[in-house]
Amino acid sequence: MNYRMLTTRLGVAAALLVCGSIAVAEAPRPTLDELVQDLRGGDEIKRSLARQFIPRYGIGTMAQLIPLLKEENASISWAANKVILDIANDVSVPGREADRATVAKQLLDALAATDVQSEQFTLLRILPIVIPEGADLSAIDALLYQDHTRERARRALQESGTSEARAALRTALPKVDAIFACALMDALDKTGDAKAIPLIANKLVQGTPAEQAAAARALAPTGDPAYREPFLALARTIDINHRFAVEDATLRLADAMAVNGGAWDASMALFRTLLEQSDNPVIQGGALAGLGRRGDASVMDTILSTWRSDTTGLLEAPAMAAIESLNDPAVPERLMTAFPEQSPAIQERLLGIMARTQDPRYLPLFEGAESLSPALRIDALSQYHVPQSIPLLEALATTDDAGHAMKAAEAIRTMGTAFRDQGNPQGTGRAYLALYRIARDDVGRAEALEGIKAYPVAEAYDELKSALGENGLLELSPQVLTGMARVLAEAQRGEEANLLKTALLTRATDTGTVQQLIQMGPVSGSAEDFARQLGFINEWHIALPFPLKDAPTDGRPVMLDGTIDLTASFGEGDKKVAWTPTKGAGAMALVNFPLQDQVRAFAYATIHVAEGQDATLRIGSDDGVRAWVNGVQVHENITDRGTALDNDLVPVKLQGGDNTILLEIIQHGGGWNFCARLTTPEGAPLAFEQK
Amino acid sequence: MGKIPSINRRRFLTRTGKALGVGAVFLTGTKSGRANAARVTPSDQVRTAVIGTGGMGGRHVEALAENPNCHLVALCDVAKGRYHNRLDKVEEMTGRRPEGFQDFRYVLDRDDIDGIFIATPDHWHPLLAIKGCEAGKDVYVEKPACPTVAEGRAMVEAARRYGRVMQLGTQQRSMPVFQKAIDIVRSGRLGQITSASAWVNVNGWGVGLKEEPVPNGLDWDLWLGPSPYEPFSMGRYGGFMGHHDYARGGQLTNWGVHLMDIVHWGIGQDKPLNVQAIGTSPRGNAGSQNFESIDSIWEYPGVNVTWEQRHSNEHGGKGLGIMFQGTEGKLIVDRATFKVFPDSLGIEEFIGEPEKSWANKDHHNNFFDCIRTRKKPAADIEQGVRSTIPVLLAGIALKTRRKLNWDGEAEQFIQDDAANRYLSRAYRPPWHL
Repeated sequence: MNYRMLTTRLGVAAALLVCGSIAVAEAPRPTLDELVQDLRGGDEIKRSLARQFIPRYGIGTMAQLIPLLKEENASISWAANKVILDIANDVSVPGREADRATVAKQLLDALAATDVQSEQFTLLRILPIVIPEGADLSAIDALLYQDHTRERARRALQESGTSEARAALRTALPKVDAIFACALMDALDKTGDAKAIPLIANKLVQGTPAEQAAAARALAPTGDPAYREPFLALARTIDINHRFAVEDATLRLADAMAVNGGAWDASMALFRTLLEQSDNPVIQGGALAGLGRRGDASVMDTILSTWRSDTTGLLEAPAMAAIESLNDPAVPERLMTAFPEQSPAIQERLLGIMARTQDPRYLPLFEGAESLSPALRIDALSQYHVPQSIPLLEALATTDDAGHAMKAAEAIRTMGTAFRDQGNPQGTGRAYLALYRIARDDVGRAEALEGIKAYPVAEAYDELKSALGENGLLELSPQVLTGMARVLAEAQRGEEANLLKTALLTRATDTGTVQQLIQMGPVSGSAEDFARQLGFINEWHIALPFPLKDAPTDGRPVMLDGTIDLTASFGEGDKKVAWTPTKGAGAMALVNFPLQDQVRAFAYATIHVAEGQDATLRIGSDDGVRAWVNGVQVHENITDRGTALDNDLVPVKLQGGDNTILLEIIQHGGGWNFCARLTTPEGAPLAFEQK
Repeated sequence: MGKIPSINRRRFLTRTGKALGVGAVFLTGTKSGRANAARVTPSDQVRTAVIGTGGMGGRHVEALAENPNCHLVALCDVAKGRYHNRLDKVEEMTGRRPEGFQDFRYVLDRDDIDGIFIATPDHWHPLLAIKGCEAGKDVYVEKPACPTVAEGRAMVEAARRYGRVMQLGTQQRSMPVFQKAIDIVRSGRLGQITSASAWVNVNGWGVGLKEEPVPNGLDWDLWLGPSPYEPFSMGRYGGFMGHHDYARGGQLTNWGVHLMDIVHWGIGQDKPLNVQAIGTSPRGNAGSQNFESIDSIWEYPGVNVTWEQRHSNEHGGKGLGIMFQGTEGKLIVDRATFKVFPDSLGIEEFIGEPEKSWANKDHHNNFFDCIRTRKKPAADIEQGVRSTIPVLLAGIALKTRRKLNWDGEAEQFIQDDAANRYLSRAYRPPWHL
C-alpha cells in the first residue's frame, strides 16, 4: 500500500468516524421559543412533547405561558393550562418556597389585570395549588364581592386554605347576603378556621334560618359543649324547612364532643336529649347510633327500651347498629341479662348481632334458642365463628328441609375458611369433619376429606379409617399422621395414637415430624428405647474436660494417634482424664456434661451396620462440634448455640460392619451437651447396633 | 295503606321539580305495599330506587327489575328522556312501570323506599350517598366511592352516624372467581406475597369543549351539582370521565378501584405508605385532563403494588387483570379465570361463570341480605373508600409530579401541604357535605 492510498483510507476512515460521532451525538436541545411554538402549533404530538419539556425550563416560562390561557383554540389554551399546572405543582414542593411565591405572584398579577371571565375562572382554578402563606390575595378578594365571580373566588380561597384566604372569607362574611354567607361559613368550616367561630356563632343567633342552619353545621365540629343548649333550642324553634339541618348538626356536635375528649358525659346526654326531643325518626336513629358508637354498656338500656317502644319499625336498624358498635367489655354481660326481657322479634335480631361479635360468652343463648326458626338460627350461627357453632349447624343441616340443609352446610364451609384465616386448624378440621358427616354424595365427602387431611382432628381418625381403611390411613402424609397422633394422644386414645406413631417411626423423615414424635413420647417402652428407634446413638464413651486454649490447630484431639484406646488416660494428678462409658438420656439420648467454661469434651461410639451405605449424621450440640467417622474428619461447626434436634446434618459413608464416631463438643459457656442420630440420606431412622 | 309517619322532612321542592334549595314547598308521596319504612323482614322484598339510569345505571335497572329479592319502585335521572326509556324497558320486562323522577329529592322523600342505587357520574356519589343516609335509606353506590378523600370519609361518617348499610359497587367481592383466587393467595401456597400489580388499557378522552345548548329534558344545573358551573357541552356530559370536575382519573378511578380492591383483599392491607406516578400522552392530547399512559407505584408494608395503563398491555394472556407474586409462585386473575404459575404448585386454572352483566346479581343480593340482617356488606363503604383512596392518591401524584408519603391513619400526606390541598374540594352552593 503506498502512502497516498493510506492517507486516503485514513481520511475516509476519519470522515466516517466524524459522521459516526455526529450520528450518536445528542440532537440540540429545543429552545423555549421553539417549544412554545410547538405548544401553539397544530401538531398534537409536538404539543404533547412541548408539555413534557417546557416545565424543565423553570419558572421563567410563565411569562410566555400565561397569555396562552386566553387563546381561543381550546387545544392550545388547555395545553398551556396543563403546563402552568405542572409548573405550579413543581414549585409547590417543600424547598422551593421562593419559586412558589414568584409563580403565585405572577398568576395573581394576571388575575388582577384581567376582566375576561374565562381567564379569571382559569386562573382561579390554578391558584389554589400554588398560593403560599403570606401571599397578597387582594386580587381574589376583589372578586369575592362581584356576583358573577364570587363563587369561584370563594372556592379558590377555600381550596388554598392559607391564613390570608381564611381572613378574606371571614371579612366577607358579615358583608354578603344570606345565601352567600352560608357558602362562606361552609368554606370557613372546611378550612378549620378557629378565628371565624365568633362570627359564625353570631350567625347562629342572629342570622336568617338558612344562616342559622349553616352556622350550626359549621360549629358542630368544634365539639364545644357550650353549643348544646343553643343547638337544642334552635332545633325546637327553627322553621320546619331547616329543622333537619340543625338536628343533624346537633348529632355531629354530640359526636365531636365524644371524639374530642373531655365531654363524654355531656355527649351522651346530648344524644339522649335529641332522642327524646326530635320527632324525626332519622334523627332519633342517629342519636341511637351515636350512643352506640361513642357510648359504653351504660347506654344499652336506653337503646333497648327505645327499640322496644318503637312502633314504626324505623328505629330498628339504627338500634341494631348502635348495639353492634358498642365497644365495652361489659356489653356481653349486660346483653345476656337483658336478652330474656326482649320480644321474640328483638331477640332474633340480637342473636345475629351477638354472632357477629364472635364472643363465645353468648353461646348459651344460641344453644337454648331452639324456639326460633331454623332459618334464623342458621343465619345467626353462620356468623358465629366459634367451634361450638359447628355441632349446632350440623344438627340443622340434617333436617328434612333441603334448603335449610344446604344453607347450614354452606355456613359450616364458610366457618372452616374463617377458622383457617384465624389460624385455628382445629376449628377448620372440625368444620371439614362436619361437612363429611352431612355430605349427601361422594363429591361432597371427597371435598370434605381433602379438608380433613389438611386439618386433622382426633375425631377425624374414625371417619378416615372407615373411609380409607387402616392401610390407606397409614399412607397419609407424615405431617397428617403426626397431627392426628397428637390429637389422639390428647384425647386419651393412646392405642390409636401409638398405631400412627409406630407407622411414623419409619416414615418420619423431616425434623419437624420427629420433633413432634419426641414430644408425644414413646409408643411403648422407655424413652431411651424410643430414642434408638428414632436413630439416636445413646451409648458413648466420653472424656473431659480438656481446655480449649491448648487445642491443636489442626483440629485433631490431643491424644489421637491411630485408633482410640479406651483404656488410655490423659494428663496427671487432679487434671487426669479418662474415657468413661455413659448413656444418653431421654427420647433424644441427650448427653449432658458438668458445667464449665472454655473447655471441650470428646464422645466416642462404635456402631455396627450390616452393609456399607450412605447416611446422614445429625448432630445437636451446645456449643460447637467437630466430628470424625472412622478416623476421618467429616464436620466442623465452631459456634455458640443451644442444642436442638438436627442442628447440623452431615453426609457420611458407613462401611459394612463396625464404624467409629468421634465427636468433640466445644464449650464456650452456659449449657454443655449434645445428641446425635443416624438416618438414611432421605431422613428415615437408620437401623444399626451399638457396641 | 298503613300509617303515614309524621316525619319532618328537611328538603323541600316545588311541584315543578326545580331545585331551589331551601324554602320551597314540601312534597311527599307514600305508596302502598309496606305502608311505611318499617323494617325489612327476611321475607320482604327490598323496595328500591335507582338514581342515575345511564350506562351502568341502566344495567342495574334491568338486573333489579328481574330480581325477586327487590321491588323496583322508582327511577331517577336528570335527563327525563333517559329515565323514560328505562321505565319503558322495565314495563316491557315485567309488566309493571315504576315511577320516574328527574330530581333525586323526590325519591329520598318517599317512605316506601328502603334502599337506593346510585349510578350517577362520580361527582355526585358522595353527596347522594350522604343524603340517602339522612333520608333513612340504605345505599348501594357505584365505584369510585368519591372524587376526593375527604368526601369518602364523609360518606363513611354518614353511614355510621345514621346506622345505615352502605355498599360500594365493587362487585368482584361477590364473584366466585375472585373469592377462590384470594383463598389461594391468602393460604400461603404462593409463599409470601411481595408484589402485586394491576393493569388496564390506556385513557382516550379528548380535550376542548364546545359550548352547546342544553338538550330538552336535561336539568344541567342539577347534573353539575356540587361541581363548578360550566356551560353545557356533550364533551362534558357524555365524556365526564375525561374531566376531573366529575371523575378524578379516567381509568384509574374507573377500573382502578375494582382492581385495587382485589389487590387489597389479597395482600390483606389497604393503607399505602407512599405513591409515585408518571403519565405521558405520546399520541397528543396535551390538554387532556388524563394522561394516555400511566404507571404508578404504591409501597405497602412488605409489598409493592404497581398500576399500568399502557398500549398493548397484557399479562398471562389478559388485557386487564391483577397479578399477585409470591416467593413460591404467582397468580393472575380477571373476571373470567385465574391461573397459577408454576405448574408444580398443582393448582389448576379456574374458569368462572361468564360475566353476564356488570350489574352483579350476587352483589345486589348481598346488599339486600344486609338490609334485612343489618350486617356489614361484602363491600362495606369503609373498605370501599380505602380501595378508592390509592387511585385518588395516584391521581394526585400525577398532578404534583413527585413521590408523596401518605399517613393512612390521619389520611393526609406527610409534610406536603400543597398535595394535601387535593384531598378535598369546595362544593358549589347550595350543596354541601
